[in-house]
Formats: sequence, C-alpha cells, structure tokens
Amino acid sequence: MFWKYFSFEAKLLIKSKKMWLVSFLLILFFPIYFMIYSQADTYSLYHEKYAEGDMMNSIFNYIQEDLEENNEELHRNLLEQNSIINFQKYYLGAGSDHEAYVESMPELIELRLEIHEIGYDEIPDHLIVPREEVEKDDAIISYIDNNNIPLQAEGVTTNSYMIAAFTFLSGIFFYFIVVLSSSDSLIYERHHRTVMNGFPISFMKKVLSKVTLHFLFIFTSLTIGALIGLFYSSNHTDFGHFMYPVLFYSNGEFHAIATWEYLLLIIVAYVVITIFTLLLTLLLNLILKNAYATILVALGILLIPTLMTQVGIESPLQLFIQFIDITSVMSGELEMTTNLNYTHAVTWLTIGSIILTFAIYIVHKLNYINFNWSSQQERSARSD
Amino acid sequence: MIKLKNITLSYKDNNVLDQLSFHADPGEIIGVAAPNGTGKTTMFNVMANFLKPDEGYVEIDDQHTFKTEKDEIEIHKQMATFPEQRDLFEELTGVDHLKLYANMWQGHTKDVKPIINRLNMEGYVKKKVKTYSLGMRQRLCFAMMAAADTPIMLMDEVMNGLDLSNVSLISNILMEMKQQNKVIFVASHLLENLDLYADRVIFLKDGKIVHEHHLHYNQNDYIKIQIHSSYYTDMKNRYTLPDEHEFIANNLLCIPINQLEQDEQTAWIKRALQYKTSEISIGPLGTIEYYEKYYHETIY
Repeated sequence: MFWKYFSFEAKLLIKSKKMWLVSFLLILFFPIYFMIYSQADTYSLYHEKYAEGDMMNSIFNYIQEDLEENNEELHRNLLEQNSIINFQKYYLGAGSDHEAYVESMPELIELRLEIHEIGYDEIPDHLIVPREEVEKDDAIISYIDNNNIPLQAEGVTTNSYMIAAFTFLSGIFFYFIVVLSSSDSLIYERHHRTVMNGFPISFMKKVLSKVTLHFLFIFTSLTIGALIGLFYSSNHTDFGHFMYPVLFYSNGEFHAIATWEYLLLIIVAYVVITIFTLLLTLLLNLILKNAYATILVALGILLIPTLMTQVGIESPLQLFIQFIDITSVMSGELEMTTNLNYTHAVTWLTIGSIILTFAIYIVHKLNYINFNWSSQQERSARSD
Repeated sequence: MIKLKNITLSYKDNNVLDQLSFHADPGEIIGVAAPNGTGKTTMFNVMANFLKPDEGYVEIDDQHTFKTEKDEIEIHKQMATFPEQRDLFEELTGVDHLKLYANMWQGHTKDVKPIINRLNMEGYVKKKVKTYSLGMRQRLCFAMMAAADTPIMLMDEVMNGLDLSNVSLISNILMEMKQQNKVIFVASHLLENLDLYADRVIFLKDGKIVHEHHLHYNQNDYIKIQIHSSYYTDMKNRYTLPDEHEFIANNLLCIPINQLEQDEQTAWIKRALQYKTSEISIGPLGTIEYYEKYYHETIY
C-alpha cells in the first residue's frame, strides 16, 4: 500500500509547477554560479606570490636601518623569506617548476612560524602572515608533498568551483529551497479532502512517503545541477584535481583533505540537513495548517536567532540552527567561536531529525485524541 | 456489517444527528432521502470518521470502532466514500484517479479498463480532469468508487449532474454491486430512481430516522386520491376516514385498504369520484410519497 501511495504522490509531485520551479532553481544555480565565480577576482598562486613579494617590500621600506644591528635574527628571517618568495615567483612564472615551489614551501613556513617566536615589535601586524594562515599553508603543502599531487596554480578550476558552489548554496539559500518545496506537502490534501481522506494508510507512512519523495526530488535536481555545473566548468576552465587538498577545520586545527572527501562530507551533511528541514517543515505544516505561514515561521526559526546574536542574546537554538550552514562549520568559521565541529553538527542534526519525527508523531496523536474536541470546535465555528 | 449506535452530533444548539441508530447488512443498498441540510452528508462523514460524533459509535463487522488510528485503517480498508467533483486533481487524468483508488484499495489496476468500458469513459478518461464537464466528473467519481470496490460504499449525491442515460447506467451498476454482497449507501434526490435499486430508503428529519421504507417487504396498499385540501376537509366532515389514512402534501389522500372489505373499498372510490380528482390509483406508498409526507413543509 505504501508504494502505491508513494507512486501517486510522485505523480503529483511531477505535475507540480512549484516543484519544477524548485528543481530549475537548483539546476540553474550551478552554471549561473560558475559564471559569477569565474568572473570574480580570484587570484592565481602566481598573483598571490607577487602580493606576498609586495608585502615583503613594504616591510623593508618600513623597518629602521638599524634593525640588522638591533634584531639580527628578525632581519635574517625577513631576508630569507624574501629570497624564497622571489624564487617562488620564478618557479611559478618563467621557471615553471612547480615541484621546486612545493619543495621551497616548508622552509618558508618554518621561517614564518619562527617570526612569531622571535617577536616582531618593529613591524606592524598586518604585514606579518598570521600563525593561523601559516598553519593552513603547512597543512596544504604537506598534503601535496605526501601524496605527490601536482600543484594547482590556477585561480579558477573545476574542483575549486565545486567547493565554492556548495559553500555558497549552503545555509539559508538551500534551507529556503527545501522549505519552499515542502511547504504544502500536508496542506494540499485539505484541498482534495474527499478524494484523499479515507485512504487506508497510516499518517506516519504518509509522512515517510512525503519526506522520501521531496528528498529524492531535491537530490535529483541537486545532482543534475552539480553535473551540469561540472560539465560547464570543465569546458571553460582547467578541471583541476579532485585529490587536491582543501582545508577542513576540526578540533581546533586545520586539516588538509582531498577535494572529493570534502565534497563527500558536504553531501552527507546536505542529506542530513535536507531531512531535518523537510521534517521541520512538515511539523510546521501540521501545526500551522497553512503553506505561507509554514514558510514564514521556518524562515523565522533560521533568522531570528541570527538577529538575536546581533543584539547580543545567546540561545542554544541559535547554535543548533547555525549547523544548517554546514560549510561555515567545515571551514572553521563557526567552530572557532563555538568549539563545535562537523561531527557535532551532523550528529545534532540527526538527533534533531529524530526529535522532529517524534514530535510529528505526538502532534498527530494529540490531534487524533482531540479529534472529538476539535471537530466540535470546527462545528461551532461553522455555525457562527 | 455496519452499525450506527445512538449517534448524536450537534452544531451549537442545532442537533444534526440525534440518537441515530441503525444497521445494514451485506447485499443491501440503503437509500438516504432528505432535503439539503438535514444531515445526510454529516451522517456519511460520521460513518467514515471524518467527523466525530458527540455521542454514540460506528461499528463494523462487530469488531472495529473508530477508537484508534489502527482501527480506522482497518475500517477504511473496507470502506470507500464518494469523492466530490471539486476535490478531484485538475492536472491529473481520469485514469490517474481510477488507478489511485484501485491501487489504494485493491493493490492492483487490472479492473480499471473494464470499469472505463462499462461506464463509457473511453473518450475522455485519458484527458486531464480540468477539461471534463460536470457529468464526466460525476461518472469519474462513481468509477473511482467502482475501482476501489470496497465491501462498504458511501455514495453521497451520486447522480448529481448526470443525464438520464447515465443515471440508468449507474443504477444498473449499483444493482450489480449489490449482487456482490456490498453494503451501499446512496444519498440521492432522484427518488424514483432510488426505488429501482434500493432495498430500503431511510428518511432523516430533525437528526432522526423518521421512517424506513422497505421496498421489498410486503407493504400496505392504499387508495391514493389526488385531491384539493378543501375537498379533503369536506370529505372528512362528511365521512369517517380510517385512522391510518394519510393526507400527504396537501394533495394526496391515502386510504389504507388492507383492513377494508371489498365493498368498503368500492365505496371509498365512489366517494372520491364525487370530487374533482385528477388521479386515483391503488398501490403502496412510494419513496416520493414518503418524501412528500415528511418534508412537504420543509420544501414549500
């Protein structure tokens, strides 16, 4: 019976103009985002090195002539850094020797860390590479070196674009799309009451059918969109390497993991976020019995805690809801302030989904138990 | 098979159903006759648990009542309710609707094609519902019930919007369904049509069943005289009418003949002929006459 109901709902979903709109939004997002991403100011590694070289020049212009006498160690460190950066510019430019560039990086990293040990009172902070950035470089270069991966010097590549696209999509945009798609999944039955009311199928099976279908619809659209984006991007830029490292922040440290691993983690999180959001929308639909109110309240749940943070009010819900923007967790943006990492986020969203399922069950049971009372209310309202 | 026990349901002070009880057995078609707003649809909604009564209960097969969702599903496996035209899915085809009902209750769609053929729907059933006329939609609603093929069927206003040939077609199918031991409740305003297939017709008034008209039991015969109310008053003054006589809708005098001797029967006919009467007939009271009897004041 479940599959028969499921196939009917699938047919309805396919006929729904709103679902096609949602699908087109998701599919078109990827190629459109590529157009924006490829035209944005994305610097290649060569340009970054030139910027670093300029920074070194600024340091040398700034420091006093007597630095060599007063702080010999710092002076030596800066000179060595400058020399390595100049070599690196050559390796990435006319020399075209990426291996030499990778080999030179550990020494530069060591020198940059050393400068934090020595102290740099004579130099303004903004001219010194922060320890955190040095650690990021260290993680990336160690990964490239250990896994013998070719250096990716181009600014825009397909692999980096895929990560950027999923990062941009993550958070309120994706949440809104899921809420929009399922905002009337229970309500629409009220418009076809005499057709749908007497089906011999339990409410929770209906919920399972709706969540599964919307999930499949969203993920199919997402997959098609991502594949189109991949194809489009690879035709317009270098494909890159999906083994190329990406920084993943966990337990207070930056780890370099392969692009495909990072994407896989994002997709796993998207699965959990989609299920969580669908269940939340269904619960709101069950309580509010109105599609517009469902969208409004769902957005409020996401946005109000953020607004509360802006005025200095902290709440546990706010933290929980922030997990929906999973790429901010993975990039360390959230973890650095909360000590909560990707595992926490996925675990809590899974627990949240279980709680929401239980809440849907309880609300439905209460509705059923109070059916007598509520139908009396309905009758009273009608007779008024 | 289905039993309603002391069902009471009110909207504020208005008792729509008042201690209503009855039961129906397999192989029975029960007609429900009453004007709009007398509780027919409410009764069907209570029977299907779409409305909860203030008092009383519905019991199926002496074992299931609408106590839990599990019981409700068990009952709904045996019961289908007639969909309203306005609730059909405009973007879906008739076939989609038929397959839905066939799948939900029978788990297969092999009977859909024969139903389409039987109801002469081949010409339009593959088109979207939004292109259908009222009659087409009504036939589709009935076909959906046939596709569900449940032991209990609740059909509210089943003949609405149908032309005579389709009324006849659906009446025939209802009679076939009865042969399959189903319990079918039919609410319809086509009262003469109800007499064709119903085993009994119940008349709802003030929330109660005021009369059960059994069409296949031995019924009392009446001399039925169409007569103006002034003539009826005159007749009452001049003769002693039998206690069981009826004067229905201010125009039909019905004199029971089962307790009258033959010469007494002849005498009443002769007396009637003294008045200007358009029609005299002998026979049992039909659904229309009971309807007139109970709802005349309501209608006029």
